[in-house]
Amino acid sequence: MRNVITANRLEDGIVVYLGHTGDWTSDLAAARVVDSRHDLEALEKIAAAAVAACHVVGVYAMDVDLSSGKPMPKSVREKIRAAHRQTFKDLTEIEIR
Amino acid sequence: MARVDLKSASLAGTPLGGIIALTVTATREERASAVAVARESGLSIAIPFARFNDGRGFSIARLLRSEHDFSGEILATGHTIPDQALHLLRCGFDAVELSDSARLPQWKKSLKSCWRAYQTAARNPLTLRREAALKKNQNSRELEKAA
Amino acid sequence: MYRYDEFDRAFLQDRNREFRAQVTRRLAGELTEDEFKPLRLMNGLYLQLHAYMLRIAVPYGAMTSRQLRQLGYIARRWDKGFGHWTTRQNIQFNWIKLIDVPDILEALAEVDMHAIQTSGNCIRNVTSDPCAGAAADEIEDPRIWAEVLRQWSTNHPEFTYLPRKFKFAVTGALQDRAAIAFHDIGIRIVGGPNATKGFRIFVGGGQGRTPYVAQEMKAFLPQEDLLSYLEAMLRVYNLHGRRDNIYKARIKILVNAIGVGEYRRQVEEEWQRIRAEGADLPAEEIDRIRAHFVAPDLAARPLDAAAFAKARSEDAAFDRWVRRNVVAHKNPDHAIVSIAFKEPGRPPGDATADEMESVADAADRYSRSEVRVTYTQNLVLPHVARADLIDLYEDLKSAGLAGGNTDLITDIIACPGLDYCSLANARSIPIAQAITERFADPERAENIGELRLNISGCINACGHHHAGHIGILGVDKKGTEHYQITLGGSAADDASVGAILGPSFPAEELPAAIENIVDTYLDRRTGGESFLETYARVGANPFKEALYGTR
Repeated sequence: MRNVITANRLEDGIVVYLGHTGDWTSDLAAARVVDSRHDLEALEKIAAAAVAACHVVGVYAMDVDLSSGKPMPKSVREKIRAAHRQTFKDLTEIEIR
Repeated sequence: MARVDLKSASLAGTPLGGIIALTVTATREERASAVAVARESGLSIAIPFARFNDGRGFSIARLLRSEHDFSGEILATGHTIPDQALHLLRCGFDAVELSDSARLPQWKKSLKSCWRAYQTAARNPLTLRREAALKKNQNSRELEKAA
Repeated sequence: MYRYDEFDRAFLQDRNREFRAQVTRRLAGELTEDEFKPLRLMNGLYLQLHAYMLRIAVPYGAMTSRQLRQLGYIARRWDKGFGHWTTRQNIQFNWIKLIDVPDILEALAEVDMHAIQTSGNCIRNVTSDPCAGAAADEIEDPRIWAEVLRQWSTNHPEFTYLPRKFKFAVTGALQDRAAIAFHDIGIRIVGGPNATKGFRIFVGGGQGRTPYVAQEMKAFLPQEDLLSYLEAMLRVYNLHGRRDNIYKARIKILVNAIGVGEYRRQVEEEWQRIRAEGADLPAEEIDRIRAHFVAPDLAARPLDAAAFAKARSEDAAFDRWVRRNVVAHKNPDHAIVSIAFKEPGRPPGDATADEMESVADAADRYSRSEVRVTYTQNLVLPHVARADLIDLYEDLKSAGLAGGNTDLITDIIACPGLDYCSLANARSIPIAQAITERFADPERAENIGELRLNISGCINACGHHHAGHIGILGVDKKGTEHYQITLGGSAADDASVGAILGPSFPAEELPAAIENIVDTYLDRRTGGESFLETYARVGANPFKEALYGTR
């Protein structure tokens, strides 16, 4: 089990991930990956504080795989979120990167 | 617990005669008997909001005012938010029990957030669309006459 | 068109000021997300996959060229340069920042527009016939009553926290172009005794997880009684609709649980009690609203029939566009023209800012500055002189908007799906694109004939799949996107819910499956039979056999 904490930034709704220093980044590659319940709970505490401080909303843990050391989302939904992509005039991207 | 009086937008004291609680699922018979008791003993009727977005209380208050002709105090208890102040007032509530008295200033502000309404309700303290149109019509007719 | 006066403008300013303060309180932590969510939804603001989405009301689908230009401005200034026509005749923008929303709402108010009640558990933007005021088969302009409802439902003190969302549709024509059978309350304007007019009221229609065709509530309601009757209907629902389960909270569930007869009894009892309370509008106020919808004075514009026929014979695409996108206007010199946002490759219903401006220009030049949005996610110019059709076509062609495929298989209704929506199970847009590409040959599409193909990315059915002649529903099958096919749905006067054909398909197999269904229809149809007629005659079996074999 590998997890990354994700959320949407409150002020603009952009998809963000909890980084290594308690920062929130829109780049999944910079997210902190944890592989134990204990570490996940620690991240969840940091995330809850960020919710209380009105930095982010809709926090949850998502499943990832590691590919060359970088987190890759498992679900289609999370792949789409991680891509931050628009569909219009960008139609060659029907296949997910 | 702090209470805000919706009509005067101020802090209110506890109800003189105490309260009788009514559920949001109260039947017509239950509403009628609560009204009878409240009238007899000068009690306020409290309508509880389990969550602020459970809107049944608004309809119950309107029924107390129009179907049961209740003119005593109706109090909203439970979870309501300041943004509902005018809705509560217009549906017939007199006062709200505040779970968080720090929000009193916001309740006062919300009561003054809007001055116009498109529909009639139990109370009509705001200018109604139809009245505004009527007035405008009369004004223009008078102007025509004067000309 | 309804024009705001100082009252309507002042109301909107108060409302926008209130929402600006609510956003500030949210950012400062004075409102929790739980408390803020219903407030932002009531102002059209969702939090989606990638950003906030703002759904702007186009009341009953009608707007002016000036309003459309302002939408283009908003797309450019605060979004990524495009928007999306919705199945509720609204427009939504997908890349909005919370902190920008108060300014966007102010920009909308400049042109008398808003995003009020385009979401939330309240009475939503009222939908209607996109051909209102222009259709040849109209009894009365439904926009009069849709505007009455818009005003009555706006910030209603009692009905703002309903068990669930609540949708109205109104039609005033013989043919239902507003899908009234799939609304919580559907209203049809009908003639009554002594040349009076009234309403036939339907209740309990809807799509979603449990689709129902609406049932008749009242055969004839006098026009002057509309608001008191609706107040009684909504009060009974507000008190007795379920609040313990979001999937069972719509009025359709209540009506079907207690029966339409019992619901009607309770409503009639309440209505008799409150009729005299004054909820109904005085005649003078109805007249005031009615006066905004006087039919435009369209000058006689004789068509040069020979030149028109020549143009059609010389240009097959123009000829097809006239056949598919131009319908009769009540004034014979004029026509109602559809503008399709469905050519191959385009996400259905997406429109760029440039395109919005092009349509606004065309509306100014050819359609009394009026534009309509359809629930099929296209636009309509309601008052075009036939003599202008050639020029209009050329203008639309240079804007890339002259596709002639209205109501054909490529005129797909699709929700945004998993590309944008946080509720979706599967993507809709790539499926729509793959199907439009497969049927891109316009001659082939026209030979297939009218065929409504609708796609929803989840069971909430925003893409109206239940009402598609062919419906496609995205499902999540063990983490992969699969698609279920339904056949036989319709949102028109013969309203029905489509039936599931069989097991679902993965995305890559779906276009071939749809082609298979279409080929089966073409094999089986006799004479000029439509898809629905053939399906009704031969049943589901030939289609099942074609897709799944005889197992």
